[in-house]
Amino acid sequence: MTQPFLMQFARQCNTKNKFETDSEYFYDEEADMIRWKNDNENPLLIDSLQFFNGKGPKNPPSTKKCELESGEDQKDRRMWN
Amino acid sequence: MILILTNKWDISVDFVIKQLQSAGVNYLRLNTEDLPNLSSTFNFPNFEFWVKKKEKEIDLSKTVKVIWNRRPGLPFENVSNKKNGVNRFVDNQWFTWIESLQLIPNVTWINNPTANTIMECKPRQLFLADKMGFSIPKTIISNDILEINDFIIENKKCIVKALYSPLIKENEVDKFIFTNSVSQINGLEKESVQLSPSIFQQSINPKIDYRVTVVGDEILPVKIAVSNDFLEYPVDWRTIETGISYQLCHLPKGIEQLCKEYVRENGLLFGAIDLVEQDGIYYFLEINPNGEWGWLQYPNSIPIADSITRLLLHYEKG
Repeated sequence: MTQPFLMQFARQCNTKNKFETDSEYFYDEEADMIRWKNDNENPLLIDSLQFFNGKGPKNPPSTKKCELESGEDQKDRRMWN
Repeated sequence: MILILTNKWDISVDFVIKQLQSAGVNYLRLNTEDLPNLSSTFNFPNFEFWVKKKEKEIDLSKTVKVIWNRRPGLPFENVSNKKNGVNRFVDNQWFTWIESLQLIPNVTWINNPTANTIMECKPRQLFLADKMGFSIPKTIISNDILEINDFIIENKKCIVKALYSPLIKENEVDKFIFTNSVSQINGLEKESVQLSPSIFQQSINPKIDYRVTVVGDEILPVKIAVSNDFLEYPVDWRTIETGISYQLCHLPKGIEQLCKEYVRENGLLFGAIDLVEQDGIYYFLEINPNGEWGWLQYPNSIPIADSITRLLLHYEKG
């Protein structure tokens, strides 16, 4: 089948398209935020990010544009199709 | 009350949630994965819109002042075989439920879903930017190889990008199409060009890229600074992973004003605009009406969560 012209420029995204629920994070229903599974106290992930280059989460969920998040474009309409 | 429509793994929203909690503001975070676990009833006449979460029953029709349409996803987001017919049926019922939130009176949406959808259309974005007084690159949107090649000859250097979202959904890892340079297209590619229209634009390079986030009346322009190590400025800075920094800056007052007006006059309260500057001229490239900003908040310390929190509080207080 003929591929669209732009497909020759397609690159694989750096991150998977689904969040891995068995990762080192969990959503805390009480806090309404994500926590980092830590041996000691499960801090909020946003409070742990600054430790990224050392003691913090190994693979924090990315908010970075270069990670090609699917969320960059708003897809309220077509994501439901 | 502030209603936040998003998903569980939206870490960007956590930056705002934390501030709302510190301010002691009444809010409700609805994660779309959990919609099938939610108890909800709305009724007519005498419209009421009840939801039950964490033992609390709330009539959204009487309490909600502002809805942050942040990043709603699908119910069953993490369930395998989610594309089966029954799950699709359930998705569609919930989609209509979310649409129905627009019936709640006297609510400010950030952003209104209809305005978001309308402003996702890149040709419309360019048309309106031109009309409002922005400079825009010379552009054609075409699937006609002859027209495209003529345009490329005329403009010498051109770029090509997708007309709609450049994301290709795959089973595990998605694909993404950046903006790319393009030169004369070989006639053998006629069929692939014809298959779907693309955006071809005059290349503006060398350039300085800006990401301008507008949040209500606030504006946070960020200069994308690329290291001098690059022999040629990249066509799409998103392809660079090192040697790039993001600096909060000011733009000429007229350009900042134009960005704010563009967002406001197109029915939005939030918008992430991409501009490039060359020889003192600022060109409008596009707007992401519900663009991601978490990557600016962290690790780049651009305080967008603060601006969003202020905007939510402003409308919550009426």
